[in-house]
Amino acid sequence: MLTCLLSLPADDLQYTLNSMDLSDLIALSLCSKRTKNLAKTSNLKIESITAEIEQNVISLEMFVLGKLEKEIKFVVHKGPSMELHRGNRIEVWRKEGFTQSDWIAHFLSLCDSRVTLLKINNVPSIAHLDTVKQLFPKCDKLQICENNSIELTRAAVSKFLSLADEVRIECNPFDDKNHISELLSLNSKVLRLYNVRNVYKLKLSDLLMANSTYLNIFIARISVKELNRFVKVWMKGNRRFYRPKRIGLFLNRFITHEEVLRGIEYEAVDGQRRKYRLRRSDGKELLVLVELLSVAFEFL
Amino acid sequence: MSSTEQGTSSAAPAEPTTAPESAAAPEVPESFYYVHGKDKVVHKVSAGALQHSALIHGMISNLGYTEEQAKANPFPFENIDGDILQMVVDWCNQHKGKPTPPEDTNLPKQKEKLFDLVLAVNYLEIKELLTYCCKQVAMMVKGKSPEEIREIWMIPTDAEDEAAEKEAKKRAGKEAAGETAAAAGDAK
Repeated sequence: MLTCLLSLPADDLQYTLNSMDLSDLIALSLCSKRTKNLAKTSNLKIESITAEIEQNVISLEMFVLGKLEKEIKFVVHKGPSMELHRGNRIEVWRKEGFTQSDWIAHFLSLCDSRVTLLKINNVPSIAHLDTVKQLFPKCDKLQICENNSIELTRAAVSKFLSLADEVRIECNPFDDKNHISELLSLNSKVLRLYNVRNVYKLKLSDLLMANSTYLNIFIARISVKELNRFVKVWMKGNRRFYRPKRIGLFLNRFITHEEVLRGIEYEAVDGQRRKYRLRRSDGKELLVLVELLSVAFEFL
Repeated sequence: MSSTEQGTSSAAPAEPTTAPESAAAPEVPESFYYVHGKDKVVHKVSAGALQHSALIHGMISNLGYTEEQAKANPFPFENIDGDILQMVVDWCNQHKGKPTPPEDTNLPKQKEKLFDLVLAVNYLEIKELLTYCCKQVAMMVKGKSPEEIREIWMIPTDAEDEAAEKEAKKRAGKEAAGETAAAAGDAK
């Protein structure tokens, strides 16, 4: 009489694994090394993983696409226990000898060690970022949440910039001492500054420092006069815009294209009243998109 | 459309029930075959029901048995317990000529029976039933913790796996040594 799952014929075992839910598969993976390897062979694909750091606690949210979209959450504290939030209930799983790092490493090993989004909400110290980096060696997006200091923001960006394609900063600790241009000059693929309550103050010189391929600021405070001067600098062609392909600014005041493009020759694109094409003498083009509360520059 | 007979394969199987009333065109009489498991209990099953099993369907196609020959030579499945074969036969009869539903709730809930059914269905190559069985196996651990899963599915710990691996290596070594000694003896 057969009673052990692992004694089933390989095909049947595989089909059984493919029929299991993510949380059940993860539970199975924790039974032994063999079951961990088996769980990896399931055809269930984890669509995205969000990791959130809150002091010494790490939450992992996994999202799976299937017949039903499913989301499960693990809350990993220090020590051999962790919480699984599935449905309306919270279960506590315990594995003797496991540390927080072991739990995280185990979960990540089931999905190529890559988290989709790493959210740094609150860390006990800047030194703790090194631990976070060890735990999450790969991430697509880094998010630095609102209540973080300039020191932590600076440290987090420098540590994770090479790992993450996109950096989103929700805090705004910039002032005259800690200038925003320090961040804008970073060489990242996508940089998003997002703070609704505390607008990002910008000057022409800050914009000229922009070095990310895609830069988006929500909400920015910059005068229309400086925006106009920014376009004029580009038109003169005496300044090189190496990296940016697009700079998007959501503003704290209404603007019009006449204000932004005053004194500059332009043409409306495809008859649209929001998109304008500018041509420089060297043949380079700039698209300027002007909405009521936003402006974007696309360097062609 | 089947009957189960206690005893040996020589026992006369029950006649099929009368065919349903039909229109002018006479129906082709359905052919029947006979199978038995470890307990030698013979089950009479229609060819239509047996089509679910790729293995038996292949055997029937190759043998070209007449009704009499089929009666005299039931297919023996000595590796399948009688009650499990009964379940399989019942399922094949219930789903004869019908599209299979997305779920089957009549499968055994006991682990031992379910695992044995999986093995039997795998051997008989009944794809749809195998799908249901594997889903049912997966359902056994739905919402369970790792410890509960280990208990339900009797999953060995890492230490037990390592011990078993050592034991297997030891045995393989002994067997290899035995073969070498035997070969040396033959050479002398």
